[in-house]
Amino acid sequence: MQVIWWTEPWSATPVAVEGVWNVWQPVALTAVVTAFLVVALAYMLGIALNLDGLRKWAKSEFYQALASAVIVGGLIFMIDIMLNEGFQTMIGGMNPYKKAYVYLDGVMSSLYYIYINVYRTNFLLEFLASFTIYSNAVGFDLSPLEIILSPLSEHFHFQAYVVTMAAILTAFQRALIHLFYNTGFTVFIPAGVLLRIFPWTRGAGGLLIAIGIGLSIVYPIMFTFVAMMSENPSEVRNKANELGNSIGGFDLSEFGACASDFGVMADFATEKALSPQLKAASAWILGWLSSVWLKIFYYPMLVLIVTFTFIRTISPLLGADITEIGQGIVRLL
Amino acid sequence: MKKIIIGLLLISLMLCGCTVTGGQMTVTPACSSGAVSPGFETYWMNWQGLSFLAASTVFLLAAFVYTLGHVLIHQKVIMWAKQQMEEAILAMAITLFVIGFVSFLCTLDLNTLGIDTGCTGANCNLVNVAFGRLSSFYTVIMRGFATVLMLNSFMSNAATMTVGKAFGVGPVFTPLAVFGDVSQSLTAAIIVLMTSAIMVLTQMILLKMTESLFVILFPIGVLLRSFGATRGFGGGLIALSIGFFFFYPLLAVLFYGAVLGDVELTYSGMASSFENAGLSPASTEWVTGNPILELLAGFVGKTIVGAIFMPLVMFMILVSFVKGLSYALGEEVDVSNLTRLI
Repeated sequence: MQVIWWTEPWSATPVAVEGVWNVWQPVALTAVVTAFLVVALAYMLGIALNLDGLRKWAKSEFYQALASAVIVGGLIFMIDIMLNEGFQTMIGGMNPYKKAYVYLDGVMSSLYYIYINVYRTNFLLEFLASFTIYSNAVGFDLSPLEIILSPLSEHFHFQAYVVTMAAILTAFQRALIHLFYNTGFTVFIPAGVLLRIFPWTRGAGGLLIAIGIGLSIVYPIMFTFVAMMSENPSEVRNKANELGNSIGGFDLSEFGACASDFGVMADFATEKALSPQLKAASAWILGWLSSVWLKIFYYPMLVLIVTFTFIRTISPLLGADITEIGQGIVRLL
Repeated sequence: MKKIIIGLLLISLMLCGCTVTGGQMTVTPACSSGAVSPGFETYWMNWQGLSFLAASTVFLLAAFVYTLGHVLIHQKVIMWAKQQMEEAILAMAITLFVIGFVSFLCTLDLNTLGIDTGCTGANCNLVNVAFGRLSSFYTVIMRGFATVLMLNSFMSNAATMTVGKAFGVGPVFTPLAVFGDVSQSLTAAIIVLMTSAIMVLTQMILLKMTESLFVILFPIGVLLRSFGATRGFGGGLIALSIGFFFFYPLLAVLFYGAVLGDVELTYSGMASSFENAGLSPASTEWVTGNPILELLAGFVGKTIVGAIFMPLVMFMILVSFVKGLSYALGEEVDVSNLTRLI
């Protein structure tokens, strides 16, 4: 009977963790037994041929084989609990993946509503700003409303750009969780356990286990803590909708939009171009993003820093030395 | 000593499978048609004799020194000689099993390991499957890129559409100027997708180069490992060649197998949603259900994971593997120091 892992909202197919571990479990146990056999054989040869170096190597490898056996045993025990009693049992009754998806979906939804409202509000402003009086005979082309409206629409351009980048970043985080939800316990950790058993692949194996645990367990759990610190996404959506439904008391008629005389319109526009009302409107528009600023930049950075610090700390314990590698990768980034 | 090493390197290059004809250098690949290539077998036969000769010379010299050490009752000399004899035997063993090892790598059918490759027969080895997966990923990215490009050109065209210039004087306005904002967002997505496509293409080229790299570095490494002075260097070369020829494609097969299906699914959703919306900005596909822009962000996010994040993780794991194996075979090689050059 296939144990149902928690299924993602858009997928009807659960991750077959149990199926994979039914294959990997005996392979890992066989590899551990093989490691002990090789160590025993090497030690015997060392004694028989009086090879001191070989004996010392066999002794140190015995402790490594013991550590591998403990890791394999611990992981089998952990997977057994997770499959039989659910992932949430291990972490105080909450499913971190579910929390992470809900949090990120909320951020995406908030960004989407802000984008829609920026689009709606800017539609009118861009339309009015594009209004141009021209005369081919005289040779002039003038957009009187652009003087006062372009500072506002530029703010919206900036907001749209920031929201786009934030949406891509949020989608990246969601995709990362999705990837490690599917591969953390089915590819990374089993492959890491196997590779860790042998001396020449110990470093790679330890790093795989550390990355698997870090990005499959620590990363989604961090989102749980972040979700507790941040406000309800529906409040952000409501605020974005409310702001989008009115343009904040910004009355275009005060800026000559309804003037019938072109001269009057131009006078109004130049007089009001640097008015305090305009500056206040700009500040109000920029404030639209303040409600999600922490969520889209600060919290993701915090989560990634904690996760990579965890990976960097636990890697040496599992046999991988990533100090130099990590610095090199950071420089590349 | 340096002259000896340089001389050995030059001999190695002459015999490593590189041929120079008419100003172009061709490298015999290690595998062809799912088996060891006959060209590599022929070249390796030349190498094998030389490697055996080198290893047996070292063994005989070490045996002589061992005897001398016993005669002079000099423990350090005895231990050194013992170590050299062990290393010479190991070098002979490596030399004996090279063809077997390469044959294993060339003929390894990943379907037998339970990895669903979607291929059959001789083309199911690691490098071919990894290349196939990267190629499929590249195709999906480019399809997504083309879709977004089309969307962007429509948006930017609509944003510049003007109404009113008819009589030489009067008002003109651009009703859909706001689409410039959407176009700007799509441009950001285009940049990310193009960068991702370049990263994947780079990996595909690297995969093809690893076959040639193996043919060049592995025989040199085996020969150099036979001598005490160059043992560390030779072991490092062996580790590098095995790492890039075996471990890197293995990582690509495992990780891209997990990423590819998901990205293809997301692209299909985005493409069919765009197809339903057509070129009409009034279509509800833009804002309801799974809106196109949300699907686009999801596609770009998954592409970043597959094309930018995964290669970084793979590179870290590969460097760890090369470090560990080179330490076991000779001298620790830290490829990550290459990043300091950047």
